[in-house]
Amino acid sequence: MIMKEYGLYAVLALLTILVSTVASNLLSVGGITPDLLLLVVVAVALTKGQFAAIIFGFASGLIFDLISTDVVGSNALVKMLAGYVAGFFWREGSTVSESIGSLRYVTVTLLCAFVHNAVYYLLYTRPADIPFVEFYLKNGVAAALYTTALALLPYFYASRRREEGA
Amino acid sequence: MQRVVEWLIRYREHVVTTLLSVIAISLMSYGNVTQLGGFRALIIGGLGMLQEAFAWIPNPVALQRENRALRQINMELLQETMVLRRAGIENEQLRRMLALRQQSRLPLLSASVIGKTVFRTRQFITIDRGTTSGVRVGMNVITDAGLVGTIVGASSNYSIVQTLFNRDVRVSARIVSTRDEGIIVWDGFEYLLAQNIPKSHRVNVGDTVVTSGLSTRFVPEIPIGIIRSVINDPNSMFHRITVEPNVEFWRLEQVFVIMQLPPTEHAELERSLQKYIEQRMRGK
Repeated sequence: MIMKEYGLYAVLALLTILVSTVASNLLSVGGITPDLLLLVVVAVALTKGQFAAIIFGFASGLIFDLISTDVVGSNALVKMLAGYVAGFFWREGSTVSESIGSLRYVTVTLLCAFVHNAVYYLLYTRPADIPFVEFYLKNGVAAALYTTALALLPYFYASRRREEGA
Repeated sequence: MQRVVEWLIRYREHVVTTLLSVIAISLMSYGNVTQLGGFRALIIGGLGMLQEAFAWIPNPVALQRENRALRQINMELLQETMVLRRAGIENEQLRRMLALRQQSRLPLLSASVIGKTVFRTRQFITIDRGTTSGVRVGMNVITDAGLVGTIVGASSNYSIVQTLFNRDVRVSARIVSTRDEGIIVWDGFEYLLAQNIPKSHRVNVGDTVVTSGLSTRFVPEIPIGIIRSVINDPNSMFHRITVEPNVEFWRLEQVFVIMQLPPTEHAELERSLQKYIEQRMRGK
């Protein structure tokens, strides 16, 4: 049962990576793209705990680095950190619909997106002549808000399932 | 020993995070994905096919912006046609008078853009030409407006182009009117910066910037953009020059690959110099 759940998350992560890579242009609004993989990492953290989220974040981030043209290791690092941060909000014994179907999921996604983007853009702008603060405020904040807006979709779906189950 | 194990188990989240952070940072310092060779070609081939399959789905926001831009361009073109007709006749006369040689043409291969990839702020495009058409990593990609970027990965039927809007791109450039040379980098937003041009040199807004040819990475004299502003930074010996790129990267559909690579010996020499500088900077 546990393996089945992890398998489901792995398939979800692969699908998310493929959609992010192939359809990034369709999701882009004014050059800003959401981080779909982050939504899965936060979901894993809230349902399976911090340790699982750290491993999952690192592995899925590394696969994303290999498939995309990004620097290998960069997404592995930031996704792992996002899993680490999100893991602090894990409540042992809570079900999937309880974890994702509460506003906690959206709030934690927002927090993780800010942390994730801050670290990523710090690494990104460091070797170039690009002002970090200005760059982060323009791209990082917008991307974090966009990602959080998309977190509302699994939230509404899970909360509806939760109400149906109650 | 048992205490150490207990401690490790107790703080496993923090220990694993630290270990994985070290691994990730090591991977990052190792280099980029282009060093993964065959695996990367496989990925590009697979993604290229997927992107081609989904290329028909429009992005409504992009379409709206494109329509607005096209209407604007249409108006400008109408005005330009009038001017160009007159200039064409004049040019023909002058050419005959001066017996100018026809400029040599670069070997070009046309390609369609089948996918645009935006990873946060890194922009790449996928084109429907690959190694079977003779495309190789390092070749330049242009449009009629100017420089688009370079090929950073190629499979048999598809290639990935790294555009100028990328942190990792540096282009050796020249201002046409003054022949001043500098380095073009992305400013992180929607323009480019021309760096390393001293304040003692006069730079005019509106001047054209082209590739200089001092580096083997780019074919010389390819238009890059127009100087939009020149800012006097009191803390620097150099001008802060903003360049508006000629190419509109968000609405690329057709591009040309320049089917020539830099001479191997020259390129090898530049690479070894760059490696030497990087090693010195790392303190090795």
